[in-house]
Amino acid sequence: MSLFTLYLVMLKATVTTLNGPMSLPILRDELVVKRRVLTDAQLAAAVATAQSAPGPMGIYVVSVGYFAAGIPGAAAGWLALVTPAFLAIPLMNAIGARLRHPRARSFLDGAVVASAGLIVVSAIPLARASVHTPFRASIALGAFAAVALTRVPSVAVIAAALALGAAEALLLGR
Amino acid sequence: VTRPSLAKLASLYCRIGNSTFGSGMTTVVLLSEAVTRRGWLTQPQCDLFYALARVVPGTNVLAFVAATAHAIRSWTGAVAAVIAYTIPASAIVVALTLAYGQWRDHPVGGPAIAAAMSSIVGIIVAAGWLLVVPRLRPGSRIRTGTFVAAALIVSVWLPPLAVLALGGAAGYFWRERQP
Repeated sequence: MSLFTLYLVMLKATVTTLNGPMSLPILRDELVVKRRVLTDAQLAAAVATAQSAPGPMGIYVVSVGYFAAGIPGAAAGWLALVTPAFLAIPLMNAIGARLRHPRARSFLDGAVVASAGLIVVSAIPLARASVHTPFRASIALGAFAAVALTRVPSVAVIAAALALGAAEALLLGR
Repeated sequence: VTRPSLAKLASLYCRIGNSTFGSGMTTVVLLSEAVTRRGWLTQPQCDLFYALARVVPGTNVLAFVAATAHAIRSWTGAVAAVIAYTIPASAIVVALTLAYGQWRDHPVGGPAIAAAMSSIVGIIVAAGWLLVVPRLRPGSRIRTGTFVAAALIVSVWLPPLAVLALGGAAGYFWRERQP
């Protein structure tokens, strides 16, 4: 897979969605299912690294690019991340008023709600790749509750999971 | 409204953008405060840019960063701000990805990373949930529930982009009831 194709595939995911999580199902479909240049475990790791770093959640495409093609791939991921931001400037100026039309907002709202279903679907293979024991299932459930119900920052949730995983390894290793 | 130097603009976006974790909303609020306090933009301008950034394609907060910096210093400002905001964070992401590769086979690091991967599953599902929650108001619940359920079902046969397009088309015809 050429670097340019990788960029276009990632751009397809970033430019056709409205935020970071929405692009996840498209990237999985393209890079894990169709082209097989990435595994579900790597995709989950990419999301984890992005959640542990500053910046927007969509920055996980940089990590995805790195997994697919090293540093040049990370650069392609960065370009795919920032390209829509530059396209948005003339778009905002040209059709900003129209985007506030109730029908246009309703269209976008429908796409956002549909993306919520897709996000859940994309989590299923990631769960198959990483949630293998009741202990890890409880971590996944706890992470959901912490982020969805209490709005604990995801970076704190990941740090807690890392600590729990390390503690489990140390206890079982004795 | 004043016009700062490119270095000052880039420095501000770099500092705020790379010191906030999690929600892009935090970055938006902090940047709005900073640029209005310095007299670079007005609060209504920031509010308008955020509203538009939420409905144009791409990452919301990045569109906000590009649009506000463009309003302050045209295209050079937009490019400088987006680079200043994303390059340090991207370098950190690459470093963490490298660390993942080196630690995943470690006797303690490996299980720790596996546990972190498990937490990501919960975080991703929570991201979907948080998109739905604001749309569960009385009068919108049936529409939202139907759309989510339909997306779950049709995603078995259709690629994600087609599901999003169908969701948009359905949204166009089945509008949310205004309160």
